[in-house]
Amino acid sequence: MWKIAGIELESRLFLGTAQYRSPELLRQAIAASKTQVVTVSLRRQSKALHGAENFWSIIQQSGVHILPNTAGCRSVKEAVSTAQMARQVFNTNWIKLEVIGNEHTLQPDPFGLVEAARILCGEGFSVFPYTNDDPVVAERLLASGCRILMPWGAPIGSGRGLQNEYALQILRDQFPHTPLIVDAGIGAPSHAARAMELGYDGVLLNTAVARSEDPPRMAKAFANAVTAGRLAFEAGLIQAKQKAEASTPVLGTPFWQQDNPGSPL
Amino acid sequence: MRVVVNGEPREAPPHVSLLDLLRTLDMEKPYIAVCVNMSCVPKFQFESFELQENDEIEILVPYQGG
Repeated sequence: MWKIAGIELESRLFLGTAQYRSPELLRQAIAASKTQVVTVSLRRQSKALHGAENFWSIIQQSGVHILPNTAGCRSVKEAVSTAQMARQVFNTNWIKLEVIGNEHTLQPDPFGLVEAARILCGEGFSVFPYTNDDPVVAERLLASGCRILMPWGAPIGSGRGLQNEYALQILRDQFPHTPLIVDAGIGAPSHAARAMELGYDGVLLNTAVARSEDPPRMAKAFANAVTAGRLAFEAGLIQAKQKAEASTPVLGTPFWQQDNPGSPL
Repeated sequence: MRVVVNGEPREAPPHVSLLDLLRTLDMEKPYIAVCVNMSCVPKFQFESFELQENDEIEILVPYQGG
């Protein structure tokens, strides 16, 4: 069990709910992932928005915690208004705060993000900021009242994995008591496992499951990878070395290897 | 009077309440959120909130998100 924003969870995998080929695949993927937190958005009510009522029904029946997002917001005002509306609809103070600053990479606008975080934290929100891997921005977010950080691994939906492990490791080392969740860019279960091996507290992903050929099976793969990565972190990974070191003891090496006692088996 | 609902111009009776507008549009649902001129309107104010000429109203519902 671990705790984030006042809630105890067993799963460390947060799952997005977009881009599934059918509502049934979404339902199956949520179940297979064993996630306890899913992200959702708010969109304009219109006839073009197919299946909105069915979607909400599936999410409610799944019994998971809701993490609403401010996806698509490009200004502080938009993000704050969307968060306030999300609190009404979903009856939660949790908000995944996105203030997008670049159309090409969809990377966060750190200036708008910090300002929106300051306002929302002041209004009692538990802000989950989608941020970059810059420790200076991380410090400003924490000073704004955030208690959680969600640095990206790579651009949203790119599936490129952890593009800057060095920076992510610095964040982990510099903020050892802050829950850190890699959000965005995860493409394969091995990417998620690696994030967890670095000591991250969780992983948030969407496209890698939703756009796979078999989303429920991929969701299960990610669940296992996150568990494996966390276990590995807790067990303590060995340090990589420059040269080989025999794993089989050399003591008692049979006579026919005496000429070369250091050779590994 | 003219108001804008989710980006589309509409005619509404003068001084209509937000709740009545939602009912007229068949959008009075338990899971909606509304903001008027970029300010969120709490549900308990829907009935007393009087709309003005050229108000811009956004009505949002839960949807897929990453």
